[in-house]
Amino acid sequence: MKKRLIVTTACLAMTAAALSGCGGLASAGQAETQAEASEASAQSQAGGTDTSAESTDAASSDAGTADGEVTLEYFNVKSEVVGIYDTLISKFEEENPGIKIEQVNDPDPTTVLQTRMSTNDMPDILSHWATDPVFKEMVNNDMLLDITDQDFLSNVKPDMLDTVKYDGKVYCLPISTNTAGVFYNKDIFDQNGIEIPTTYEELVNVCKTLQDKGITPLAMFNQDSHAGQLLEMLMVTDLSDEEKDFSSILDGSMKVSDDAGFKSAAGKLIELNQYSQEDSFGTTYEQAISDFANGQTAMIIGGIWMIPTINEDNADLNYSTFALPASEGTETKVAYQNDHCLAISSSCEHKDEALKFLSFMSQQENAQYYADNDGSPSYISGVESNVEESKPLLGYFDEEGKIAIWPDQLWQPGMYNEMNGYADELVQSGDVDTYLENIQSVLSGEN
Amino acid sequence: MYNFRHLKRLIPFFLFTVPAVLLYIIFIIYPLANGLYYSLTDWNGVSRTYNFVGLGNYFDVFKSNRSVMIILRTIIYALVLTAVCTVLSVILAILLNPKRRGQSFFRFVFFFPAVCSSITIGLIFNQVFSNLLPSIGKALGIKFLSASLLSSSKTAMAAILLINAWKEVAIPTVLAIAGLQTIPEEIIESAKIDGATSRQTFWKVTLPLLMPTISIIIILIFRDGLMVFDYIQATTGGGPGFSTMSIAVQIYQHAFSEMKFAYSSAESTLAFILISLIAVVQLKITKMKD
Repeated sequence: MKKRLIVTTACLAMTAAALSGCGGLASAGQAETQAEASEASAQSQAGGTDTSAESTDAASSDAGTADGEVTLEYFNVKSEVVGIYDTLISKFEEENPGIKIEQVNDPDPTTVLQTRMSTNDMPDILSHWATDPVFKEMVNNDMLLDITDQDFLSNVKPDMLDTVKYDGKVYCLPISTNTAGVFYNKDIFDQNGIEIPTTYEELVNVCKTLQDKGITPLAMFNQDSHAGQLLEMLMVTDLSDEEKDFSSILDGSMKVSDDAGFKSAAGKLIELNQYSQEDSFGTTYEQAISDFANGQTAMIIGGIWMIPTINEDNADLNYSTFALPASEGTETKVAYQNDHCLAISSSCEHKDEALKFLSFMSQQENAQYYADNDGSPSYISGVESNVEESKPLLGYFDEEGKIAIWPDQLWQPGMYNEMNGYADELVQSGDVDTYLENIQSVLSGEN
Repeated sequence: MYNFRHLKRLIPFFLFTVPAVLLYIIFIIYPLANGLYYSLTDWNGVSRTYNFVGLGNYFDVFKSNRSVMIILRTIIYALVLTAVCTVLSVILAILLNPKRRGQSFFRFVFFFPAVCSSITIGLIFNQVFSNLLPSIGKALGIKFLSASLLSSSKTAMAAILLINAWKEVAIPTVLAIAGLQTIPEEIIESAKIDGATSRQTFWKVTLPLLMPTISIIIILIFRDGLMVFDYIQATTGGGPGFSTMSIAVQIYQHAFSEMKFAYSSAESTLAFILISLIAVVQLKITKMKD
């Protein structure tokens, strides 16, 4: 009898211990479970998504806990603006007692989001890019709330709102557009008597001059796919008709080799990388921005979304931007796309509260705060662009035909990773022909 | 009559296996079957609809040059890892087997990596390769070390092999020590009496008797090498370019980053078949040696 008692107690104790392990996940911090989810999904192979679903399910069941108080999860894919949102969310919570918003920003947010998409565990509110192929997937699969009839959309500039409509319906509140160019350190340029280049050839000369003087011309974050991004900017300046090119290559009516722009862009990428810092492949995005902000490199080529980070790294830096110039005789264009939008998932349990947050973000004063700290042109009426550094690039938006959408917005979802990988290979090997063959097979779907 | 009572006695034992079997079915059999099912479709991992495409995904894997290259690269990586780690673990076992001062301490030191999680090891070594070694290289003026070994497509895979080997030798060393201890002292002594030198004793007596253990070690390491994932994911993610891409990382990226979930399921089924075949072949070889 005594033995039986001991055995039974031991079994119950083991079961209790095992089950408390499951419950423990729910009480761990939201961010921790998200990190576990991404780690778990990193460790499991395809088809084993159950482990990540387990921990994220526990996380989302936390929403709406305290009596009367509603907690919403805001999944932010844009890490540069986490600080901006912390301030805005505090303000929103003051104005709306009873609604709490928890901002979540994971490393590798797009992969985490995709896992959550496939396990039907969408966050209440999420940020994304309104013309991105993955966003289109979410729209096509009814994962996002249709907000076409919401009043606060009247705060958005009408013709800009049209650019983010799908079949006449609106699925997100667009916040800002981005663009990209060359950031340069004004002090270094002045001290060395360098003028802003207006053609690509002049830019290369500027790099040579700087290098001869012992100053690193460009900061490259090749560990974080800078090669792919820079190559897209070069495609914008070099391809004859970017949108037509890509849609033709994707449906097979054209080949990569039919437009010499691809070859010249590839060549330029290799050339510009010769003027980067040593070990560019060991440099992360954050490190490269820090190098530029601290005056160790004269320039960095990238998007204006870097502005908040540059300012955080060094508020005293005297810098500005100029457009990445096209070759002599070709017109310079700048890349753009919707940089940031807010959407609500169709499975959100507290839609009214979530809509209140979107409405809050569409108010002119809040959008102005965002624009002042982020530096990107806003979609909201009445918001002025006060960030001096990005003004040279924003000028291109006022003229016809001087802006072109980022090439990756024209690709199929999922091609982005492969194109970046091949861009890395291009820089490492210097082999343009293999690169062209590789992207041909990716874009035509033969890979 | 006899059979019935016999079975009744066994019921408690069966009941004890139920939890384990249930977990196995839920977390291993079900995803496996699910994966097989999806591999016959064109599901991209996210959309609500998909179509059946039969074995189309499987044919696509063989048609893709990049997939074939990655399979070859992973196999070569596994071969090199097996060779390096087997030799190292046998050497370590011979050094750690005989009783000497500090034996327990050194055994602990070399076994310790086995209890660390491979992701943690990968993350720590990532910092070592990215920051620590280049600082040392720059200070001492060694050009080779001045850049991160993980950032050049020529050296990245070798660096990952180093990280992998650090943990991989731990358990084989323990197995080899156990294997050495099963060799009867008399055989070694009689070899010495017959005039064999240490080296002859090792090659002609110890090693052949250690073969069964070594065969197991080879199977374990080769399989781990083929499935290498954690170290790559924690350091380079398959880059720079695709130079550190292994089968497992490719499967993961296809499923979760490139929206090719069904294609990725087909790849994993093929990987499963490949690894099973290799395991069968290795088992046959060890049976022959016995």
